[in-house]
Amino acid sequence: MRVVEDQLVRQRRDVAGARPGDGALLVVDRLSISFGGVRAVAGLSFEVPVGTIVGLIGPNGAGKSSALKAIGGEIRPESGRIMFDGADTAGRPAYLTARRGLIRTFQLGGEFARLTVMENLLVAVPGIRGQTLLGALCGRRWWHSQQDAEVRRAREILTGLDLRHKENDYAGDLSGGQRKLVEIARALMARPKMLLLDEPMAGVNRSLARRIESTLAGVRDEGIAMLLVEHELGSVERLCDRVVVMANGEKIAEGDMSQVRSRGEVLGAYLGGAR
Amino acid sequence: MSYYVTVMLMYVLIGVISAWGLNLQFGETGVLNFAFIVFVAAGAYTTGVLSLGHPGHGGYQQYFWGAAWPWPLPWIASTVVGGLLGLAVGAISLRRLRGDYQAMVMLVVSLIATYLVSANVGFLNGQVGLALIPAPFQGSLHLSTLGYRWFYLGLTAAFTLLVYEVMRRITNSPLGRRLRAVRENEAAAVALGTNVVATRLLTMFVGGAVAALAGAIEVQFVGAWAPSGWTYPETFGLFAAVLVGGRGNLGGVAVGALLVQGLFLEGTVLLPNIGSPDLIGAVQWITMGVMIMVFMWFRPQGVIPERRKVFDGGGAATRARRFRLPLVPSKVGGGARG
Repeated sequence: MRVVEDQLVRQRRDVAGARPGDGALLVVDRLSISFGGVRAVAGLSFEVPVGTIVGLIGPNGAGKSSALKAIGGEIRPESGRIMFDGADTAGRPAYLTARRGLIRTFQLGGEFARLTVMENLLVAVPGIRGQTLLGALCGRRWWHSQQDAEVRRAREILTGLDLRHKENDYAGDLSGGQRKLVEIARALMARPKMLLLDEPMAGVNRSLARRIESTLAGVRDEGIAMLLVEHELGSVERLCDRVVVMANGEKIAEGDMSQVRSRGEVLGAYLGGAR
Repeated sequence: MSYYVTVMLMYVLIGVISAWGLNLQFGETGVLNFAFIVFVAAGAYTTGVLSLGHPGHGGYQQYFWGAAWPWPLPWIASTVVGGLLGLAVGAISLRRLRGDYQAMVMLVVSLIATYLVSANVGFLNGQVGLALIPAPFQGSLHLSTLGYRWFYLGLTAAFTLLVYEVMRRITNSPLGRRLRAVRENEAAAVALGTNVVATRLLTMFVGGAVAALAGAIEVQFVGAWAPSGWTYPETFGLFAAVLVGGRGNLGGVAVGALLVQGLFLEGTVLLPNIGSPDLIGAVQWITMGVMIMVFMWFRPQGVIPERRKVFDGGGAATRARRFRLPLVPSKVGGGARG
């Protein structure tokens, strides 16, 4: 983890002026999403401050994934504002939101299966030479020194995640847990300001889940904010500074885990009698 | 015999160039361009009208406009036209549509293009097509017919090497990696900041330009070009070359073009007629369709699979390993198994 932390210290410097407590990096304001007249999210509001992890929890069908997709730019909200790093990103193309530093991971199948682990990481590097047609036609001399530096950075991250020995394996050949780690490593290569994590612990064995937890905690400590959708409430409690609880598309509670878990509406939602 | 050898080699090289263009779109980026042959035709017609000279009134063939540009200007113009046409077709088919619908639009574009050119005689001489298209330097080199064929073959080989170098630089670069990322997982590529539509349009531009160059080379070798030579099944011949050879591998695709375009499609022309005159042609296409299905079922990676990019200590992708069959369970070891 030490190497990953060193990486993150350097990465942290790129997040200009970002310090825990600087204010909200992400502001979701009265967000509503509908699919063919069916309301998936209704008036959701919350904030994610710099350098914190906010958990978004709730039973199946609560609207968490829809909210996450809208924040990432994958779907267009019906109404409401999504302010990320000072800009309204609601309805903007997902790739532009990602370029602002909001990087999403996927619950399932987020890897590039027939690219090696190293290639998966290098794809994420923003602005690398040789990514344009002209740059590619200029040949290897034009881009290889910058790529070499990124390869070294990727190796440091992979070493920290105990995945260095897998760098030349196809990502599609890895186990489910290893793929999740590759996605997190890849997100870090993108020099993010914030991560949107969609159930990073789902389907992962306990020891690997703990490793993912410690990695995410390290990432948070270096100033990168996260919005975490997760069903594993133990992980949410250990990781998240705050949690937002959703049911039937609405926010029903917000606070730290110890506060919200005792509230009647939260218990009701999880036991099947939402609201 | 030498005549047939030059014909065979020419069609192999033209097939290789075309298949590399299609490989960039389909093999590297995952774009199912079922209109690919239209770009070959666009290059052929462009070079045709730019070599034939102005259409005379009441001449034996009609076309909307013409000029007699010296070589290599018609080839350059064809390449530009192919690229721009790629952007136009891509803008219609790649935006707002998913992959399978994109493929359907491409196929429809191919059908529309053939019917448009066939039906409009004043545009490019309709169903009859253009003929007597002059070849470059043919009058000035004072070579025998066979000697000129070998010269033209050498010229084509030089352009084949040029296209290879362009394709090699693209596929080995960070751009090539991004193309493969789009092919593998569009949503993940977008989530990392890739403009997927722009990336696919780029491959439509480059692939279209390469296809048009192949058409330009072919039309001045054959001396004629008509809609019957670029119907939509021709595209599937090129898909067969990419699938059989190995999508994503330039060497594999070249082998595929040699096997499918050279030996299979052109080589069988030399066979004696058996039964109906149409029998060999029909058997060609039926067998090719079966071959595509067999490879997609049993060897989707092709004869020579895509190379694995392995990074050495300095960070350069150097060695290549064979892609393991997805059917073989991978042995995942080490600490991080979840």
